Order: sequence, then C-alpha cells, then structure tokens
Amino acid sequence: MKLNEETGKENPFRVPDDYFSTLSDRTMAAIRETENLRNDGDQPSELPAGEPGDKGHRKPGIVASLKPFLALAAAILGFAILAAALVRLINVDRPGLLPGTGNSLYADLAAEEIDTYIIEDELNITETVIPEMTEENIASEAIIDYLMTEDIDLNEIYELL
Amino acid sequence: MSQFTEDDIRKALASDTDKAFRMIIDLYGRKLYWHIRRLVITHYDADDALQNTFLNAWKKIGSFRSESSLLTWLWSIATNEALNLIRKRGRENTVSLDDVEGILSSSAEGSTWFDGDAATVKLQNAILKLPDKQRAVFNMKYFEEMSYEEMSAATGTSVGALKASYHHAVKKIEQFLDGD
Repeated sequence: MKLNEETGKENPFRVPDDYFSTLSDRTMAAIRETENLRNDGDQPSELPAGEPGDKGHRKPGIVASLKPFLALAAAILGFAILAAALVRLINVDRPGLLPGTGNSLYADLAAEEIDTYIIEDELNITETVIPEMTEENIASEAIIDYLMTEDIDLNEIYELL
Repeated sequence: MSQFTEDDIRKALASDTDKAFRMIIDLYGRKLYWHIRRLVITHYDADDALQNTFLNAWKKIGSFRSESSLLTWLWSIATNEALNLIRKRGRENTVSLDDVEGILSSSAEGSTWFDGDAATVKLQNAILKLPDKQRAVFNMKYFEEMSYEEMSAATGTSVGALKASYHHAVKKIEQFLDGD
C-alpha cells in the first residue's frame, strides 16, 4: 500500500471548542503565574543577572540543599562532645563512677577483707571469752551499783536475807 | 486568521515583549499544537507540552537570534517538549503504548477528542511503531509539509540524514499497512 493513495492526510484529532481562540490568554496567564512564583522564591542578588556568581535563577546545589541537615548534625556532635567533657569533669573526684578505676578499687577492697579473714584464721584469733558470772568473781561494789540503778528497796533485801 | 507576519513580531519584540509574545502565540500556536498533538496523541498531553513550549520560549526569548527563523526555533522547542513527554509517559506506563486505542484508553480523556475512521487509525498505529525522532521527522514532512531545510533548522539534523530517515519511515509504514 502506498501512502497518500489510500490513507490520505485526514486529521483524526479534535480539540475542545474555543481552544485556539483562548490560547494566547491562557498561555500569558500561565507565564505570569510562573513569573510570580519565580520572583517570590528568588533571593535578592546584588550581582546582575548572568554574571558569574549570580544565583538568581539557579537551582540550589546538593551542598546548599543539605546545609540545614549538616548544621544540625554539627550542633548535635558539638553538644555530645560538651556533655561528655562535663560528665568527666563532674566525676573526677568520684572514682567509683569513673570507668576503668571503679572496678579495680572494689577489687582492692574485697582483697583486703579476704586477707583479714585469712590472717585471723592463720593466727587462730577467736572471740574474747567473757568469763562466767559467778558469786565469787562479782565484786561487791558492782552488786551495790546494780541495785542502786535498779531502784530496789534495801529493806526488801534485808528481809530476804 | 492572523493578519501579521514574523517581521511584525520581530519589530514588536524590540519594543513590547508582551504584545510580541501574544502575536507569536496567535501566529504559531495552532501549527505547533498540531505538531505536538500528532506526536503525543492526547489533547491534554498536547496542551501541556504546548504550554511548556511557550513558557520555555518566553524564558529564552532574550537569547533568540534575529537572523534565524522564529518558527523553526519554536519548532525545535516544541519537538523537544513532545519527545520529553513521550519518554515520561513511557516510564509511567507499565504497558506498551504503541497504538492509538491503547494511548487513548490509558488517558483520562479517552477518545473524546479522537474520531478517526479505520484507515486513519491504522495509519496512526503504523506511525506509532516508528522510533520517536523518526516519527517527528515523518510528521513534519508528511502532514506539515515542511521543507528539509526547515526541518534541518528545527531539529539540528543534516538534510541528508533527514531524507534518509523519512525514506525509511515511509517504507516501514507501508510494510506495516501491507502486513494486516
């Protein structure tokens, strides 16, 4: 089949009514809208348009768009370093809380206690034996002192005797 | 019908850009629309691409060289916009859109703005089988009856390459039409 002979050049496409008669108005309105949006988003530039360094109509680069996140990350890192330094400063006189020194100190104390028990065992040190209280080894003065403190009537004692 | 010429527009561009641009739209809007529409098929896509064509032209009007043709300059912008839209639609659709009915059924407008008979639909389907750039070349020559020199200025391709491209396109379309 040869083109043009059977196919022709008929245009099968249609457009809405008044599409072309309103085209220039709609297009100019779209251009104005885009211009306004662009002007609203622009930063004032002291350099003339087109000069090197003029960023008036350029898209921001990757570094520029990541700037807020980089600043936030730097602030968090700085805060963490300051906090770590502060904790070290506060706990410098509290060895138990300082990492690396606390465990060895407790270990030393425990060792000292164990050593004491071992020495006591080796020397056969026992508790002091308290002598049994008998009538013979209780001094008369002690008895009198006891009775005086307990507020016992002497007459009762005499009667008992 | 517009009563002014490209020379009138050039003179207006020097004094009143708004007025000159309205004249551009009035003089070339229809022609550019049909060029885009044959490439993208649906009216909504054609309208999108045409609006973008004029927006880009507005931004670049300061760099337009007065010695070159305004129409071929606009033609190259419109062709690029249409081909970009086709590539975008190709990425968005998971099914192959190489026939008119498929494109229309996948669009919101359906076949509202299309009423071709069987032979016309068959020709459009054959054209859609061509690679994008070859389709643009075929449409410019066959439907819009542009000269190879105008096409060369609009596409940045040599006249010889355009002639070869059009010749291959015609052969492919005739083979497709004979095949059914």
